[in-house]
Amino acid sequence: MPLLGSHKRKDFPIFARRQGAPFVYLDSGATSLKPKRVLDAMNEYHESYSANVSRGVYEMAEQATNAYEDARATTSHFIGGKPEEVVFVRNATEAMNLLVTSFGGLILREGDGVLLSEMEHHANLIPWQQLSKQKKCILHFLPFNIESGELEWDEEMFSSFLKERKIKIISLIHSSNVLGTINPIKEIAERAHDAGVYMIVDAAQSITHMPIDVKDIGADFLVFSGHKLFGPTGIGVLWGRYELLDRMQPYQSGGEMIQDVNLKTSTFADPPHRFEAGTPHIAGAIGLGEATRYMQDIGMSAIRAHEKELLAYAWEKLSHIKGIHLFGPNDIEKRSGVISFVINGIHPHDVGSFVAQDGIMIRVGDHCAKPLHKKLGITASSRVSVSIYNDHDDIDALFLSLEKMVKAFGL
Amino acid sequence: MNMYREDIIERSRFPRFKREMKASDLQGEVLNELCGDELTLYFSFDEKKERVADLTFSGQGCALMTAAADMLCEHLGKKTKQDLAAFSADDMMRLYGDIPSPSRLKCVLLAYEALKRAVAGL
Repeated sequence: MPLLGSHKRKDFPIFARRQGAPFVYLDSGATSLKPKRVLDAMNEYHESYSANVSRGVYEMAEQATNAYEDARATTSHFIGGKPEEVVFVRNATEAMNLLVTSFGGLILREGDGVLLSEMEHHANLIPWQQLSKQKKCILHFLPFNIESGELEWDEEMFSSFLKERKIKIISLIHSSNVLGTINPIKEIAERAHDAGVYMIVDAAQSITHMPIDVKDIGADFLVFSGHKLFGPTGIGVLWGRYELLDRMQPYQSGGEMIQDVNLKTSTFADPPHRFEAGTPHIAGAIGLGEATRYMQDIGMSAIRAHEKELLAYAWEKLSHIKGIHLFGPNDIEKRSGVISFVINGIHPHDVGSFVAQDGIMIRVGDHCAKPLHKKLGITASSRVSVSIYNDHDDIDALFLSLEKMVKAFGL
Repeated sequence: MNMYREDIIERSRFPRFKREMKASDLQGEVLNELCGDELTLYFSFDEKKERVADLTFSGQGCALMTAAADMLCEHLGKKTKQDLAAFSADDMMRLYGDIPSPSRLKCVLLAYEALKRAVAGL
């Protein structure tokens, strides 16, 4: 069992920074900190072989191309896919926009249905709203239970539900970025496939917290951002089954994505390059590849075990704060990554600013999930995220700061 | 600097001017995009319609927004329309005292934004 928590902080240069006060970072759900290995891999590209990819015939260019394609292979291995099924994009949001436009545009006809849930991040909601206006298709939403934080779906009736609503695509968040709920993707995907419905998985939050195998969970597509799993910003992944990617039209066009070009017509490259117009974020892809290697060296099951223990500790500890309400499932098997809460009588932004004065970083706001917050009857919440470098001392520091705040506010 | 001075917390918990005015002469409404909170200022003027007779606010918000709105209502409560128009963001910050981090400055200035909108309707 690898040593995680405070032992892992030595891998992250930011914990040894000379400027600024010591800090407690509990906002990895927004973005993770970066290990030295990832920074070194990116620096090495810039310092030693920073040529463009897929075009030069000199050695440095070949080295860059190899590193870029190697990052694709490493990343695909990380999620149990094939290299040619991994498209590098900017982030999960761009991956979702690509999918909605190119795959949604291919599959959906007027009157067809798309099934989402009430707990989606805006990235898996607004692109569908845009497409549904254009295509005149209908959005449906699986509700979630306010108390348990779990999706409410009737397994027995699901097939007939999909048929009646003419659902062609289901697109769901794997693990809620607010409630922490791990959704039963595998079970839903099984029913979906029986009914000939495609399954898109938004793994932006879950990817850093648990082992994910795209074939095992039954995804047709899966998207995530690199920066939430110790990679840099500006790089993300769209994974898709090859035969589906191969049927899709390009999302953007220009250099790098073509097969042949004439003045009036062009033919396009095969996936994944068909969807990577222009010079890609080469250093970013290399950094992401190294980040997935870093995580595999630790082991995703070990990461999950560490975070489960820490989340259970945090849940228990935080529940002692006066006036607090914790959202989502308290069964740790059904939760990953985050705990969101409100405290009666104190605005979430005051919670965030107050603990920030003690050097503690948490997220406050609607977390890009306004419909979810509206259903909970609130406009904002505070969110604690845990990661491999967090430990009991971080939770204790937060607990003490919250206790101090509740006292200062006279509650 | 402590963003949560005792007087700020005190005012946010027990604001003196937080009440909706049913028959106001003038209103100013504003939304804080940071958090989605809304704030409304209500003005009633004296018989000559020159001077503020009553100034109140409503809206659910953070401690900074509530305390700042309450201070503004107290400060401008009996002033003339000209004074209202002349009141600046700098005046608001001086009135408030310590200025919080840039991300929360908007909360302190929300009541001032509502004032500006109201004054535009004069």
